[in-house]
Amino acid sequence: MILKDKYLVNFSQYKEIDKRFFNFRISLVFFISLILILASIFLMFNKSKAENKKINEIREIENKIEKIELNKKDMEEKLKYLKSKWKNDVKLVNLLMEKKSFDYIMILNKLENIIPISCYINELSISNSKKLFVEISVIARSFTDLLSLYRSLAKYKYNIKSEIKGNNVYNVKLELFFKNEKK
Amino acid sequence: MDIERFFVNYKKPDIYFYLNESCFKILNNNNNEEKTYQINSFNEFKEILLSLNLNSNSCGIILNSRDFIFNFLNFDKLPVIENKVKEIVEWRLSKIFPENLDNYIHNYISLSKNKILSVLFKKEIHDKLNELSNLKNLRMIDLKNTTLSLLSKLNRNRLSSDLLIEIDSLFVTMTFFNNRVPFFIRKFEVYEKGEIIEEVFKVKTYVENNYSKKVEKFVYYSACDSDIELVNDFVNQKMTLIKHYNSKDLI
Repeated sequence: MILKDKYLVNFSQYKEIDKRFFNFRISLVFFISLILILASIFLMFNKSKAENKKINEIREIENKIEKIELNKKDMEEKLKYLKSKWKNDVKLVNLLMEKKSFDYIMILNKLENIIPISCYINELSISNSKKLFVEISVIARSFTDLLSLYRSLAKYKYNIKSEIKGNNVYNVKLELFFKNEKK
Repeated sequence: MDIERFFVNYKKPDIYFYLNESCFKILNNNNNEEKTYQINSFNEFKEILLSLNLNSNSCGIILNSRDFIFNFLNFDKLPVIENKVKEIVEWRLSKIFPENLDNYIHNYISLSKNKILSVLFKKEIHDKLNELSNLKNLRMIDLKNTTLSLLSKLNRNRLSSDLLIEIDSLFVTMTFFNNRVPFFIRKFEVYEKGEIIEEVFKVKTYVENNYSKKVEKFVYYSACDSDIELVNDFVNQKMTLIKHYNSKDLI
C-alpha cells in the first residue's frame, strides 16, 4: 500500500506520528532519488562517450571533405589552364578553317558555267573574307550577249559596278556573291 | 494531502478499547486477543477500566457510529489545495448543520473529485474519553469509528458490496455503495431485535427507489456474539452475504 487508506480517520487530538514509518518512507524516497541520480550520471557518462565517438567521426569526415576540396581546387586550376590552352588552340583551328573555307576551284567552275560562251572574263579578283564575293570584269560582244549574261546571273546576288559601251563591245564590272560553302 | 498520506502514518496503540452498545472489549493489537466485558453504562466502563491492570502507556478507542454524524456533500469543483477544501467543506457544513461546528471534531474523506464524506464527532465525548484514559495514565492516540474502519477494511480487501450492515445490539448502521464508493449512510435504533429486519428492508427499498440501485450483495458486521444470528434472516430474504466481519476486524 503506497498511500495510506483514506478511510482510516483518526479523531484523536493526541495522535502520534509513526516515526519508523516516516523514516522508512523518507529513506525510500532518498534511495529511489539516489538510484535515479546514479542512473542519470551513468546515462550522461555513456551519452558523452557516444557523443565523443560521434564527434571524432564527424572530424574525420570533415578532414576528408577538406582534402577533397583541396583536390577540387587543384583540379579546377588544372582545368582552367587546360581550357585556356585549348581556347587558343581552338581559336587557331577555327581561324585556319576559316582561311581554308573558300574553294577557288568551285568558284571558277561556277563562273565557267554562268558566263555565256559569247562573253569572256577580262579581270577576276576573289575576296576570301566572311562575305565572299568575286569581282569580275566581263566583255560581251553584243547587247544580246550582255542580256544573256544578266539572265544567267539572275540566280545569284550581284552588283553592277559599271557598264561601259565600246565599239560594239560592252564592258561590265560586277560584284558576284557566293554562299560560303565550307567543307 | 497525498504527500502527507505517503509520509505520515499515525502510531497504532498496543491496545484498543472497543465500546459498543452492550459490552466493551479490549482488543490487543499485537496478539489479536480479545476480552469482553458486559456493561450497561459509561460509568460501568469507567469502573472496569480503572480496575484493570494494563501493561501499556497508550490506547485507542473504537466507537460505533452513534456519536458520529455523516454527511455526503457534492460540489461542482473542489480546489486542489487541502486547506481550501477543508474551508469550503466546513463552510458548506455550517450552512446545513444546525449546531455549532466548534463543538465537533471535523474530518472529511474525498470520495471523488467533487464528492466529500464529512464526519463530525462530538468534542465533549472526545474530552470525556481522554479524561478517562488520563486517569489510567494512558494516552489516547487513536479514536476510531466502526463504520469508517469497516470501509477501510472493505477497501483494502477490494470487496465490491452493495451494502454494509452493522448490527450492534439494537443499533444499526447501513452503508450503501456504488462501485465500492459509499453514497448513503443511515443509522437507526429499534426497540426490539425483531424490528431490525423490517427497518433494514424499508431503508433498502428507499435506496433502491430513490437511487436506482439494486441492492443484492451485502457485508455483515456483528459487534457481539449475540448479533450473529441475524445474518441468516438477511440471507433468507434472498440477499447474498459476501463477508462477515466481527470486532477483531476493526484493528
